[in-house]
Amino acid sequence: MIMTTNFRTLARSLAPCLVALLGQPVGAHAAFHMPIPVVRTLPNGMRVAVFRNSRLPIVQMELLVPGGVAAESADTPGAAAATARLLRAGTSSRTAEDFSADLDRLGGSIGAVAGRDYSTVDGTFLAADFDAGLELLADAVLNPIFPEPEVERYKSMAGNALTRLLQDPAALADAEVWSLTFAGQPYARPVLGRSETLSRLDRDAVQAYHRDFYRPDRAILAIAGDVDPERAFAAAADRFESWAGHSAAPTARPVAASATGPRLRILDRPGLTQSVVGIGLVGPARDSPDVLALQLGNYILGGGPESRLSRSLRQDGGFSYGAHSAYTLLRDAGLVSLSAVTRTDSVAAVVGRMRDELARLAAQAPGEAEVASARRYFLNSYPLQFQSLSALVSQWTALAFYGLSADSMDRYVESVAGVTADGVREAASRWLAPDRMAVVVVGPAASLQPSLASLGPVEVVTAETEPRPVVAAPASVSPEERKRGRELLAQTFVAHGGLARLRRVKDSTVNGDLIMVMGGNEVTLHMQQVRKEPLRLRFATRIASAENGQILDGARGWIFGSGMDSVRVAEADSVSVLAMQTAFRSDIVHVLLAAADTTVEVAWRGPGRLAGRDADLIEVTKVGGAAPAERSLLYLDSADHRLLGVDVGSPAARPGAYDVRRVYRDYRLVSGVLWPFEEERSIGGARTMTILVQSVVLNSGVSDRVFARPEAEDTRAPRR
Amino acid sequence: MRQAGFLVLLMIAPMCATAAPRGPARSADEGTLVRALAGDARLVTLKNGMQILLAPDSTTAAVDVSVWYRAGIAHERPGITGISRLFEHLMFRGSAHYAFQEHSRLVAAEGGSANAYTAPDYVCYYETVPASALELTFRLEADRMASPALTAEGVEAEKRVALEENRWRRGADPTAAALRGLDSLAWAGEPYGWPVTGLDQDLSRITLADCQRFFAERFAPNNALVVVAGDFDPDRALQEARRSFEALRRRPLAKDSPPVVAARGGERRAFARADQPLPILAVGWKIPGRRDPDAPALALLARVLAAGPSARLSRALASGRARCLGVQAGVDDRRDSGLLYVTATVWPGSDSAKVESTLVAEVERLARVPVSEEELQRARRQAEVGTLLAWETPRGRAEALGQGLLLEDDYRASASRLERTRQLTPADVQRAAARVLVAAGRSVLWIAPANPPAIPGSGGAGAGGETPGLEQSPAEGGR
Repeated sequence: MIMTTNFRTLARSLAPCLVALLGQPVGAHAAFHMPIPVVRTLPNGMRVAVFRNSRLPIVQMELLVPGGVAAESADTPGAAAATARLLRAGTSSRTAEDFSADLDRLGGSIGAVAGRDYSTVDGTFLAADFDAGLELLADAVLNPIFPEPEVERYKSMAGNALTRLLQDPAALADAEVWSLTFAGQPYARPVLGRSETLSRLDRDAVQAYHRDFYRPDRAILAIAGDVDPERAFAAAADRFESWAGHSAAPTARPVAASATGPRLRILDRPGLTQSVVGIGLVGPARDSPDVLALQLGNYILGGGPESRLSRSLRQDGGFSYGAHSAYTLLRDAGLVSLSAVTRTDSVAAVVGRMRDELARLAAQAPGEAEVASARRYFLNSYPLQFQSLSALVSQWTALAFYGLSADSMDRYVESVAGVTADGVREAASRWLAPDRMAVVVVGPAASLQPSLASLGPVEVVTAETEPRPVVAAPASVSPEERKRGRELLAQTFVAHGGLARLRRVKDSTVNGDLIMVMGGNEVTLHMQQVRKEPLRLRFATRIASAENGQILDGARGWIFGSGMDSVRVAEADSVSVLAMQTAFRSDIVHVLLAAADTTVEVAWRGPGRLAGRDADLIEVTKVGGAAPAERSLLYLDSADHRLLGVDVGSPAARPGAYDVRRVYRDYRLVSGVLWPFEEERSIGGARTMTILVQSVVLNSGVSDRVFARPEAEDTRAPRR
Repeated sequence: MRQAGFLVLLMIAPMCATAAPRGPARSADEGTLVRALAGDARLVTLKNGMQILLAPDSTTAAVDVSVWYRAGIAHERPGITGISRLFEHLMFRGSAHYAFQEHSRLVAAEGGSANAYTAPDYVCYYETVPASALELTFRLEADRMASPALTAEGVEAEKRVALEENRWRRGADPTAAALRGLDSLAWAGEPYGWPVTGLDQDLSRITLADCQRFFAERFAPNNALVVVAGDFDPDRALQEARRSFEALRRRPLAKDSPPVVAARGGERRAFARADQPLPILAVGWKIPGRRDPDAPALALLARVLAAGPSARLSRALASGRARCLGVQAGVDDRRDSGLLYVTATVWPGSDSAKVESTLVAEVERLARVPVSEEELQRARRQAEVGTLLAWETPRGRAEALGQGLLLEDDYRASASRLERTRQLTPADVQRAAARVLVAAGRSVLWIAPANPPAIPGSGGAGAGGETPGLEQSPAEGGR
């Protein structure tokens, strides 16, 4: 019932080649041999490989299922990553906490990752705990139940990670290179999905992904360590025999490489002084005979420490340090990506030099010395990929997935040695011709666009989530901008219930939940905000019976905290009072009325986007008086003129100071005023809090006593 | 539980299965662990005093070469703190025969990688390379041991980098910042109290002459250890090492007085503010250095306290008035002294006094009540997996071997420690706890959010916990 495959010795012929190529290495006994596992196939199709290694009493395992990000349904981007991440978050017999506690007891670990071609789940345990460890790993793979709250928690975490990605120009450029190079094809998909599609990801999508792709027929399990192979096979058969079904993962499908002339995309980041350049080119499928020559070509181009790119851009040009290229091999295609960070005024020159280097590699055979050093690098670094048992099981499951035969590993060293300079040129001419470039630049579009236009048609993508820096120096406002700004604002006032109605709001009481984000965790507090004209605010949060808050009464304020047995009160200092006054003016009514003030400067600052909507940007500047100018940027919905959000600059305009962004959603009518029931705040692009409003009451005649100094029952300082 | 532990022994050393659990079984088992860690390691002292440890292992495919200098804050003086860490960088700026950054480029061209780090007791430089690059690596390390390019310009450049990194560090991780604060409180007046990264005022004033003097006194061959771990022929490697290193001259070293370990004069307290959203409590207990026989038991205590959701503090501070957002515990054990520490990030609305009293009571209870077999078993397994995983790669083995020699005078120390860990009983752990988990050795640091303002006038340690608002204050505009 169990079939046995005997893998031939993989690396028999490595030794003579290594010696011939390298001379006698200092003291090395013999060339490296990739260890050979014993492999069997279970009746359900799952392959199991065991490497016995008794050096240390540990065991490493890795299970691979085909599919990955490239196999996701187009409707639910991010499903592969979500599924992998949520495998441990509750199974049919364990809660997430039980699962962690059981892992803790063993001192082991289990992790899971979604890649583009496949997903993997890995485990590390003491050899003595092999059975218990395999049981846990199988439970995560076979029986996850994806509890709703855990799915929501994951989405919130992924949302934060995506926001951080947008803040990191280099990571963003890398993601966009994939997206532009493989536009319209599965490899274009970002691993975590996109902010705007994350809301579509739900428990059903994760369950569907698990149902379709976590299937045994093409799954591969590799086990390495101090475990008897027979025992390992028996345990694997036992744990996985009930697993049934067929993977929906597609088999190989060709990826078309575009040759329609270079494509250029600018991700507009007006604040950046250093831009990031990324260039992508589609490489051949993993099993192409060109792969090895391209690996050497990439090393010569930008993979090695003394590559052509680093010399061209650093030494001669002084344009950029750290310019390099990378070659990622996937099943149906590869990606050669070039990248550099450079001053914005050098971007066109850097792109030009990268293009020239690609053209040179495609036109002329590289020098023999360059090819020799590339060969040496690959021969030397090849065995370094097998330093640990965890690396060994990862390498082996990947090789098995890609269908690389024992022969191909056997011949690896031979093949590297056989790549000629001409072979590199030929492969480069097929795959790296400059008219196949997809160019991505993250930087200020206004200065980049003119210089890049000569290279081809340029697409500009406006930043959606990154706060636009609120201009610190007084910017000039043309009469047209002022007029357009006032007109658009007038429509916004109407959309929100009209200025007259807004001005009649004398008090407001808002109840809801305040969700804070701190270091990846979320904390939810109950919150109440009571405002009364003029300048009176009571803001309190509550967890269990403990209430903390602030009270503002004009020019005075108090900070209070009450627990089960006491209330502590302190007079707020002048800074706190100022902060509370600002807070008083931060609700939707005051934000709108501040823009209606005829003494403020108003300017239309062009179109933009926020929260997935087209917007008009209106800059509002309050001038005059001794205080520094206060500026804010309002995003008005282009279609229905609602206020989508606002960026508030720091009044002192400190360099590097973060801007605060508020995004409003879920508008509902409250006594004729359009009021946002959801408000998301972020600082420097990172979400810090969300307010989910439960109720809003306007003009209920709030008593003045609400804003009186709270009665202190016990004002002694806390212990010590 | 005891049986489960014995199962582990059976797996590794089946030949001892019938032996009594004490006596021969212990030493044979320790022998197995030592072999797994050190193989046929050989420690050789060259004529110039440089030590070289050769630890071949034919099951791997790489070689790790690490060069360790006994130069850390333990050896620094007031006014030049951070100079060891400065050397971590300075040594990559070229040497007599190699240009600026050529070291890293040459290693990378061979398919390898090079890096360095600074610890309180030493600086360690390392390269992981294919065996064919071993000779090159020796030449590179010997050249910078002999003649690093120390220039005023280079020193100034690395000072700027170090200051910039310190600036970045201060804002990056509130818990790490709290631990640095705790170090300076617990080791106040001792070199171990200085940050490894150096005090800014010292870094700013360090001169080329300071660096030249520190180099002369600390970076001599007779103050260095070279560890070679991985796949190589030890005889040929030793020959190559002699050719590269032995010609370097021995130099007089600075007098190596062990750091003063101040007497424990009662609990120390400090209160600070930092730009972070939540109050952080950091408590540390002074413990003996690495060579103390109780060191393995003390390391297990930290795991019993906070490793994983089932650990004691993780549970005690998970709910109620002492609820915390996160709890960590660990042991920072150095050559001559150590600290068992706990940090807790206080949940908004929790009672800070309650957090502190719960935390301290839970920790110090370990000195009076023995831990359960189950807890001990969990902690032991975690320690065992952690130790063994580290030995998987040549880099990890080199770390274990080098640290053993530098911090415990025995390159086999990591294996002996694991063996002692396996044998520990609840009574052993309690005895060790009773030695150190006392009020007299305790340091308590509270870090309260600087913004928004706390209750004025309340002062004292607890203020942070009751501070309303925190980052969720509606008062964002007033920052």
